[in-house]
Amino acid sequence: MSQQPHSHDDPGVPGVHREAHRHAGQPTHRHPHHHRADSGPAPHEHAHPTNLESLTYIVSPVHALDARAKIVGATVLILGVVLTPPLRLAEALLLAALLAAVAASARLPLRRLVTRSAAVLPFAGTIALLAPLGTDGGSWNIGGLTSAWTGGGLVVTWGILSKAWISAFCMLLVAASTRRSDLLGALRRLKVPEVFVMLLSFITRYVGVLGEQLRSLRTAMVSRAPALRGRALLRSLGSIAGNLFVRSYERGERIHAAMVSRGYTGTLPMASRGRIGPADILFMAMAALSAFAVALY
Amino acid sequence: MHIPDGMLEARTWIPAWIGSAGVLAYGARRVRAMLSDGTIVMMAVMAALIFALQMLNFPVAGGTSGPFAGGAAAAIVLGLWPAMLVMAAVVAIQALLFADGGITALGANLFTMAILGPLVGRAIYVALRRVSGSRGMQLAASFAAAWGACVAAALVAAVLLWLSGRAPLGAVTAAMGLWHALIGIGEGAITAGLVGYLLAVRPDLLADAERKPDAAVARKVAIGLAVIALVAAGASFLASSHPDGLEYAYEQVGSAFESMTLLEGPMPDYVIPGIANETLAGVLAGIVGVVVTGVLAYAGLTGLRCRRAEDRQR
Amino acid sequence: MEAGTTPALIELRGVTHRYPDGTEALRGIDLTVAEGRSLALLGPNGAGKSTLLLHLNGILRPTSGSVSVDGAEVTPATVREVRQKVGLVFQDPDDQLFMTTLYEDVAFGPLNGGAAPAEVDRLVHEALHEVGLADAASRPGHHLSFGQRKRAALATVLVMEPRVLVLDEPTANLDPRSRRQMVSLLASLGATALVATHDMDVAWDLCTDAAVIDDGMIVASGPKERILTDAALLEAHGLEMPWAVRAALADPPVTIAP
Repeated sequence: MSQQPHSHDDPGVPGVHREAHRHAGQPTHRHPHHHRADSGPAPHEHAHPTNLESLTYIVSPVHALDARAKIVGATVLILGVVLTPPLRLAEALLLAALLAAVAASARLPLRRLVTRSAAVLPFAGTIALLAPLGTDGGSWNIGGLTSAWTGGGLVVTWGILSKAWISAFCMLLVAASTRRSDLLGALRRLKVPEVFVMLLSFITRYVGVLGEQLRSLRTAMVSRAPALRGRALLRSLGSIAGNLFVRSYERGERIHAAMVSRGYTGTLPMASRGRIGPADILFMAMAALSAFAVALY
Repeated sequence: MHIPDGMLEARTWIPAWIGSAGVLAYGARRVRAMLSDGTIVMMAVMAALIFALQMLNFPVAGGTSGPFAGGAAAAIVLGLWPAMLVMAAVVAIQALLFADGGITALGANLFTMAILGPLVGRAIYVALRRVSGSRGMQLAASFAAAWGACVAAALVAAVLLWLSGRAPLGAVTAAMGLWHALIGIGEGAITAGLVGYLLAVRPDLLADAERKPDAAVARKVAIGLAVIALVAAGASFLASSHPDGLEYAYEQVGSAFESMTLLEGPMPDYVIPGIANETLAGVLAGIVGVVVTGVLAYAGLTGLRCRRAEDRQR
Repeated sequence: MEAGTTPALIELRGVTHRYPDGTEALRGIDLTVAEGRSLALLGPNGAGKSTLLLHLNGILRPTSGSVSVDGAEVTPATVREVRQKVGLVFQDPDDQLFMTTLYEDVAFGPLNGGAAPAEVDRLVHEALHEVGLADAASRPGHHLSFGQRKRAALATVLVMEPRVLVLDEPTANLDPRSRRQMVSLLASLGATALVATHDMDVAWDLCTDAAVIDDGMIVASGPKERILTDAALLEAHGLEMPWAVRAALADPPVTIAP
């Protein structure tokens, strides 16, 4: 048995994942449904992994990097981008090419990552378009805006948009190429307090289960009262939330009982896995160099 | 609402990170010391629930919808510090795994949604409950707490954006404030519904609000908040590129009020809905600022207690 | 309960349990599980099955009476050992699979017990192999089907090599194929066991003895051949005879031992 972090994917054939799971756009496989005969747990098809989570099972050089290296690398690069004046176009294109190359070597679908990271643009865009006015409190009409933009304000706009998008892309790269358990382990080893790691761990583990319960309560509500609106709707949503609170509380008690049954003493045991290797150092160095390049030019 | 990377200036996001990290690290130690293992496990499941509930969109006027944040609800049910940690975990996951909110901006987002939201929510709830212990008041207090937390978080986010020179104070506070005042109604109603349900079914789950104020805790909280505020303000102004930060701020505030006269040319196309009247925006900002400060001061002085776990023999 | 000469691995004597709000969940339970035997605990919903099970590894303390495991009473001092000896498998596998990968879930017990990483590795792989989930070690619980999760939950307990397995509704909500898998898996383990269940056929197939609990009290206990053929007894407590028994009774020449 290998002592390595466990990946039961076939290491000899990169890009192939042995465990069947869903790819974007294809339906999940369903299991037969059963009706609950008693107050026991409701069976359901297994919770759908979020789109990104299924990407973390791909085998690639980037996926194999230590999670700490990826987090540090992404952070350094983001710092470089954020702390410096807005990128010149050439710089931006080079950086984009670099990031695309990383995504490609990670065998991740570039278009999905781009569209997903572009989700920051609406909010960023609203502020970005008006930011030029913020610097000198210009007037609030088209005339004022246009003069602010043509007077160099567009650089500010470009800066906000480009930085937001690039940073989001970097984080998504990490999120899509790192198994959740490795990510949590990395945070722990990066000295994030134990309580937080446990919270993060439970969120990733149970959001699917609770989301399912939420969905079925919501479906039940909608099928019983499809035309609910306004205050009545809000009240029903409140009851749904309350119902789930109670059930989650009780579930918490049962989980704790299960943990205690297996010897829990207050800290989640985590088998230490993986060490920083040459590939990881290289990756971080690359990120640091890019950050410096962005900063100095 | 989650601020992405690249929008805040270093003089804003760095102190925000330091402040938030400090508060949350302290909170983590407190919670570990105060709560039993079982309660912490329950907290963790609640974090997952809040995350799941945030996918609950409710309709707001005009065909749009607003997400449920849950900061005030968490503070009411779980108590202040557990709620802060739970919301922090939720916000952090959103930033790390979904790029919803930047990581340099994470400090600021944590401040608004994970620290300030629950704090304002809990403070309003506790304060109103001291006025009357009736069930009706409990529901009204829940509504007000959630609404207040929603608006306060948005306003502080707006202020942070202004501190980074991204938007005129009046405009951004009015826009974010008004929008969240609207969303806050939905959040308030759902929170009230949630509390009402719990009162009916499992009242023992609500973190008790009727505690005697703990003067020592209250003092610490007040001091802590003051320190954070001073550090943030000081760092912002000291690092400001303007020679005299205070004067710069004064100019900004002044211009918000004066900009009525700066409206030149034909009637402006409204770029942001709601900025019809700059004076109104300024006045609104002022009122909310006073209310928020007052609530925080009241909370600090009267003490905020967290839920003490019943130590079940497990 | 015929204790015979085999040593009792689990013994409850006069166990009562009263909840904080005053309701009595258990009212004087006397029960024994002998080594090498497997006991089906049958009863309608609300009879107290789950409450009873939680006493077996010290999660709940009896209001009065005693619980002994392997000859020693369950006390705060002995509870750690008890929890290694008594492997409690809950009804909802999601309550037992709380880590981010199956490997971590199964490793949880041994790691808490202080085992070295290499040893943990071996134990985990053996346990996963035993339940047929060796491929799934790196996957999180919520990526498995319900039947797989039930087996995974079993693995998290088997890995600790308990002396007695306590199972709460092991076949509830399983589709026929998963149910068959689970039953044959449990049969192959051949462990001393206590199985709380509604599933009369599982009780008949897997267990040697049976006890009926109703309203917090044991109303009957003994070998399954005696208990599970007593139609009147079973029906009086919201149960019915297993299909195997009913089929045999419909065919007179085959007699069931009284």
